[in-house]
Amino acid sequence: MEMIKTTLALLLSLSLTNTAMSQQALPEEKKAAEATINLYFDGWATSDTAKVGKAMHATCHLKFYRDGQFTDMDRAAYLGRFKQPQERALGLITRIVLLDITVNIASAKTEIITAKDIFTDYFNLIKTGEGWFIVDKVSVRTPK
Amino acid sequence: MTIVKKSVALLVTAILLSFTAFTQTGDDAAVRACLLEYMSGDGTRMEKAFHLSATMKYIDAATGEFKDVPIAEFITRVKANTTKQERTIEIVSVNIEGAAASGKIKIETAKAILYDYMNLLKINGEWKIVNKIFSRQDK
Repeated sequence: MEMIKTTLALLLSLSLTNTAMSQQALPEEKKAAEATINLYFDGWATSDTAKVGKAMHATCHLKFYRDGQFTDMDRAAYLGRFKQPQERALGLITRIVLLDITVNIASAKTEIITAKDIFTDYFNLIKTGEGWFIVDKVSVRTPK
Repeated sequence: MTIVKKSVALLVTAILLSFTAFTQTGDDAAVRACLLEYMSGDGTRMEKAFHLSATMKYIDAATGEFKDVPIAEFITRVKANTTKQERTIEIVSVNIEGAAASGKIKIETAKAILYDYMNLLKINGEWKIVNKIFSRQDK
């Protein structure tokens, strides 16, 4: 039993070290990619299309499948859906669930939780000469 | 609560849990099956893994330029390339949420290591890759 415990503890510490190492591999890049996603969140929450637009690359498309219909929307059409600038709603939750960075590309899973729905996005991000951009996103809405 | 009621509640919970597990496993297997079609390296099979709207985006290592390539163009390139090089290819991770998913793939050749991040959607009951980005590091 003691041996099993020791082995488990060793495996756990190894896996934690591994996670920590991969997370610490690019701390500056992680921070920069997170800043792009947070800019998107901030713009989304306040209907500030300048912020959302800055986080999204010019080639970015939003794609989703809902109620039997596939939608492929370009950046301009997506930005056109936002209404007048507003205050961030009380209780709105925006969070990065997963962020995986490999050299100059990244994948993120994010959640925007409103009073009614949970919007989950998977972002593909690329670091260009001008920094990190969301270059594509797919989305799914889950009613609460 | 009587023992009978408790047993029924337990049974219902167990059935619901196994149903949830089954659904998740079904989607996980289906997403991986779609990615495996892409990983086959065969142009015709790869074509089936992608949605028509898919694109491939990357930074050109030689010029530093951002590239946005329609998937049909990429498939044409694959079909035209008859010299298949030795490589290992594996799925690093898959994450699924409802009808959307993300996958990471690692490809290693004698000269380079490449990573793909794919976005997938379940469209009409079938998983398709709708976006691909990649990075390449020479060894």
